[in-house]
Amino acid sequence: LRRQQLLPLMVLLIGGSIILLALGFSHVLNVNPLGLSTHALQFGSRETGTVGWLLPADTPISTSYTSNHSLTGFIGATLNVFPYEVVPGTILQLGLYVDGQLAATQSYTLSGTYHTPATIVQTIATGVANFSNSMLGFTVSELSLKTTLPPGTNVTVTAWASSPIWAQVDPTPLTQSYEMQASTTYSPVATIIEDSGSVAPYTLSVGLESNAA
Amino acid sequence: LVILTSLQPHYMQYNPDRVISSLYQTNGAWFQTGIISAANGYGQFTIQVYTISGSPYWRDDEVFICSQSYLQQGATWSIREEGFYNWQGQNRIIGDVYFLVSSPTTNSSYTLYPPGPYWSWLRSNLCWCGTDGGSTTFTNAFTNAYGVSTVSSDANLNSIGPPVVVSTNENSNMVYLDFSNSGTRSMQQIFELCNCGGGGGGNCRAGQCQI
Repeated sequence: LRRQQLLPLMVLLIGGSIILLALGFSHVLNVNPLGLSTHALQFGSRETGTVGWLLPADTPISTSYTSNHSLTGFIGATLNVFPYEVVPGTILQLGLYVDGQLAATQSYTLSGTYHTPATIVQTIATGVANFSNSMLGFTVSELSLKTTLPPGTNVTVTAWASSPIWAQVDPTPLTQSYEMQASTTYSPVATIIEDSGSVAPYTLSVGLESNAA
Repeated sequence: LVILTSLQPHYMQYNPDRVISSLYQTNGAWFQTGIISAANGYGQFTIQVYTISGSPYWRDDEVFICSQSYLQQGATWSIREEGFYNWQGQNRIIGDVYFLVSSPTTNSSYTLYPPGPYWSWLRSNLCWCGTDGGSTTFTNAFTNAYGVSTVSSDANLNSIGPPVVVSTNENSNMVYLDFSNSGTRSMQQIFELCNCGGGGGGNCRAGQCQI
């Protein structure tokens, strides 16, 4: 092709690219303005307390809640841990079950080094203490729910740690946590029976969240 | 490590530009972090992720304190998005977000581990925004709420422009001033709020209230 023939072709290509790019950006920009929203559907434990229980090592603990609302978009669960004398390399394994079926897992390796370590303000009992206001929030989530889950959906969160860790407890619990069969290794099983095992001495604080309607 | 600090407390959000996010964030999502002050005195740390179409994708909200001490003069709010950085490549994955609020009478910190990790850290703008699309105005404790906040970094960063609209899509009333020392380890960007009356809310541009 000669230069005279190439020029219109290049103009066409560049112009087309600009139009496509503009269309792409306009798609993005036409989205309704969004900042941070304060609207969230929260259930489970929403405690601001600072009481921790020394979660025994190698012991899976389950905590279940039933939602009073429809669940859409995602289900997120958070287990709060106090960064106090965490053994470096501790494995924390979380499991999320929806109506008894395993929906998501998340594994963490705890470094044991944190910006703001917690301190014990008051020892309440053996293995129970009141801490300073510093926490770690470990999450396990099912993202992109395929369907809307109806009110009454049961959500269970399991936690297993390879070394003892101080987990936040719910001082005014609406449910109970259950200790399951101890094991030095753990992988969440495919199905779980709600409230199976023995009642734990304290209820773990497990926050749950989904899309607000 | 990027440290975002507000010298005076307000709604503080770390809002990467949405268009930049659509191009460079995982799945084009909009990953935001913030510290929200509620009218009842509860403070809240939050991570919120929206899809490219604007639908909520995932979020986590943690109430950190039930006291207005964090609104005191001299209180400091910080957000650190931390992770596995490779500044020469694209592997800038956020492993956790560290929130800190301290005041002369109280301290509260929280480290939140979002799903993944697979969210990329993006250079961004710090803003003191309203919530819920900007419908919130700065009232009550925020009557005199205007001041300066800064963002700084211990890594070499280059500047990026402000959001598409200077006052941002979130109706932030921040004024975005120039980056200084761009491309160094002491890059700094200064933010200001306009005091437009009525509690300090309003639309700011070039340091002037827009009517």
